[in-house]
Amino acid sequence: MNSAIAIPRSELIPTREVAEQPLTLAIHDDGRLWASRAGHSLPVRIRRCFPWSAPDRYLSLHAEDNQEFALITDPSTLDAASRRVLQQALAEASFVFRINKVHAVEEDFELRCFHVETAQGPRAFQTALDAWPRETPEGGLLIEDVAGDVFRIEEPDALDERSRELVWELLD
Amino acid sequence: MSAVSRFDNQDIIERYTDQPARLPDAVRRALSSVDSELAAYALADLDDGLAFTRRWLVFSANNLVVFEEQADGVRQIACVARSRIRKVLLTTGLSCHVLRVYVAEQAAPLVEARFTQRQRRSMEGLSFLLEQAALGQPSEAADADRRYADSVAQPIRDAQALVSTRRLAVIWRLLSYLKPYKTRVIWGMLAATAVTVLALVPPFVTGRLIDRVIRPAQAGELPVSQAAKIAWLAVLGIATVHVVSKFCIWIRLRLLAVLGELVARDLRSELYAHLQKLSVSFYSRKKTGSLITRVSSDTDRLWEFLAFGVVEVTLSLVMLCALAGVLIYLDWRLGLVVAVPVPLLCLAIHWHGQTMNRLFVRAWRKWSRLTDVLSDTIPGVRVVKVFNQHAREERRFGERNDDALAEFTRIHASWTSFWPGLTLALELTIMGVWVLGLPRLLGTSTRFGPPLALGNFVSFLLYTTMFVQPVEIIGQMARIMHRATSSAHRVFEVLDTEPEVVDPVEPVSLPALRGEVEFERVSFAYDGVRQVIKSLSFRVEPGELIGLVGPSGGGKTTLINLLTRFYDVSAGRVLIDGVDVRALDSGQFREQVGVVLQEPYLFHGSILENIRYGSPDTDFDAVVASARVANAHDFICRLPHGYDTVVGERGHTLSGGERQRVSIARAVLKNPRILILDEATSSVDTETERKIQEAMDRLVAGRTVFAIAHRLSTLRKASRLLVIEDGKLVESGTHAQLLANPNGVYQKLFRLQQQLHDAA
Repeated sequence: MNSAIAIPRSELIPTREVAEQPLTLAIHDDGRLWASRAGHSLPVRIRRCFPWSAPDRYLSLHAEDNQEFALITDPSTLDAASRRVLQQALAEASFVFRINKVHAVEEDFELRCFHVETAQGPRAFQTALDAWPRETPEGGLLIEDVAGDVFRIEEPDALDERSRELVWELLD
Repeated sequence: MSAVSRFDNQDIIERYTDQPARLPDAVRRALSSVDSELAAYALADLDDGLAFTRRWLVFSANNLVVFEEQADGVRQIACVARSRIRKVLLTTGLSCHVLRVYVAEQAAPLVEARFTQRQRRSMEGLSFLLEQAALGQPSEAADADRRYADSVAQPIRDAQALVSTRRLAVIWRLLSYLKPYKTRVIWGMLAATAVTVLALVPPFVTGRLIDRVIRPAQAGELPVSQAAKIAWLAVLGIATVHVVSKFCIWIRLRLLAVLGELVARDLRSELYAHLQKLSVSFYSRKKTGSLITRVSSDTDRLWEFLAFGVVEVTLSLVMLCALAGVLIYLDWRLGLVVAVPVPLLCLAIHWHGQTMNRLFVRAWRKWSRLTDVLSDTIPGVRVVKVFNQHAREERRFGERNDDALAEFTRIHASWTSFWPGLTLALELTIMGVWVLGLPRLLGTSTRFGPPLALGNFVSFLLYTTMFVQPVEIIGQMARIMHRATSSAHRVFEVLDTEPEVVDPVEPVSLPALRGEVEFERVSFAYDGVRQVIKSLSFRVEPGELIGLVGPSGGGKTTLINLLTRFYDVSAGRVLIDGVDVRALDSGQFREQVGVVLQEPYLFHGSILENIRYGSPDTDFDAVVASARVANAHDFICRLPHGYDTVVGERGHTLSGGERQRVSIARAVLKNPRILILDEATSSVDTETERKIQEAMDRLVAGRTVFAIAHRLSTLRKASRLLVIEDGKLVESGTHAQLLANPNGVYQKLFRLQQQLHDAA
């Protein structure tokens, strides 16, 4: 396991040589994702650059001071252990609720109230009446509630008939 | 926040979310075995595998304890002594965030909690308190239940802009606004009732006329001359009924339409007066457009409801009951044929309304997509042209236009099918009356009842046609009520908001300030948790010019907000001439405070009105003198309408520098004892800045002045500079004294600006 090395800000901007060095990822005892490259190791946060257009590519690793440490354009270039760690970190950082079933959609004083079944269990959430769902490139729907939680209907056509009926006015 | 809104927030959590509105009693009991005093708590609603869970992070006087609600009770899963906390890390994701609490660097976290965005505010508050604990600082005492409820409910409150009250209660409250106009209401309702009752008369008289006059006359049972006399009297009676009815309609419309206007006027005035009382924090939470809508459109919608909705719905109910009663009285068998389908027809209209609602939601969504293209491309037409994308934009607009058309076509298909269908149903009812009534009328069968008089039958048919309108109104009652209660809610939400800054019952009067200002260990947090001013103290003598400097977000503007009492301190005191600012009459105090902002705000009106805004009766000499001091007189006189030039909304017809000089003239005329200059010269060119600086040099003379400026060179004349960083006073002294400190914050900032200036 790499130990923490304080890296001056200027060194966080990778030179061409450094950028070509292999990147490894690990989850340390402190529970955080650490990235190592060219002898430097530091805790990073992971973000998908294109969470809906290209979710599996272009993954940006940022240090605590928000400087980008590395950009993974293709995870297949990582070693197997790093890829596993990457998937684990992504599951958390990119977590959104997946809606499997819609129980009810009601209007209540300027709010549209959803009662849904997610992969995590039942959930009630609300959106403003004019906060329309967003379509994802592959035809899914993203609904952001008033608190900012994101709910995803991956394939509206795959929902049961009653659910499709309930969200009918939100579908194309 | 008042106790009332605290209750509301708990109510909102219970109503809209799947989580408890406060820390469950079982957790409280479990906590009592560890610690007694509850400082804050938050819910971690995701477990390590990102499934739902209920883990409560409870911060008490001495510990951070984590409890998990399980099927068989509450289990304590972690406990960290407050004194051991060394580091707190909050990692954010899309809908999952992680809070980690460490007792040593590089070690595994003792607490690792995952939670959704819904819990983020409360968790951030808790995280702040834990960070304070890690720094060894005590946390401010606060109501943990309130903190939690406010944090979780706030996004819903902000989106909904409403309190969660029962719909019926809102209607009753709305109707209470009719009280001052009781006489008008009574006369209006009497007139409306008379119209309803009178409408029942002509069909009844017609039936009687046929059965008791015309038919006996035709049969020779009644002399023609007598029949004619009675018939003409009946016709005259019917005509009189129509005239009286129309007169009553006129009274009703006249009284109730104006009544609606009166109530809407009262609501608007009450709302506007209340808005003036509300604290600045309220305006920072609400969108301007939303508030304007409440005063304008919502009150207008309430007018419609009070003037017509209430009456129409009430009278329709009365009319339906009366019609059913009369029909059953005339002939109960035929009466039931007509009356029984009525509730079904009302239901059908209601269901159709719901379908139409859904269709309108779709159409609204498609319409929004269409207007999105317009609001994108019309302001950005140059970009469209430069990138030669007009063909693509045309195509995009065309596609969305077609989408919208498809939805509107669907709407038209729905209502155009429904209403003929409904009419057909009503006509079938009438046909039912014919089918059942005709054999009895002709005397060919008594299977459906005894023989039927022709007049009765005619009355019957006339009454049947009168069912249509009330049925339609009753069917739309839900929509009418929904629209009205939504508007009423939005209005009442503002009226029910308590100002957070309130004057004492017997305020201290300071008619002539000396201008001495003291901050005494002042702390402040906008959200009640994260302190943006931290135990800050300083004293300013009357007539001093104080420069407030430091990095952005350090707390300079917050200091000004506290000084002007737009907010009240969380701890400590702000003293004006030795008196706590909270004890002062805020109106009288603010009359003696002048503010010149970076973005000066001018009202729609003339330059004269804007300069005289604080003292409308000031004479022209004083206005001109103020404008001269502000270096504004010359440019004003060059304008074709001089001081009478209308500056447009927010003064948009003037340049930034001109607006600023008008605002300085306004401040000069006010002659304040305490003057605040908030980045007054930061957004103008060098020449304009020189003119404004000259004006300000004259303005500051003899007053206590607080000046915020990022361009440090403009503060060289300050008596003292206070360097504010991260909510604390980190340095103070004159420009020269601060520059002499080689490791000082001011010296560093000044050096950086010099380098930038030299490079430029």
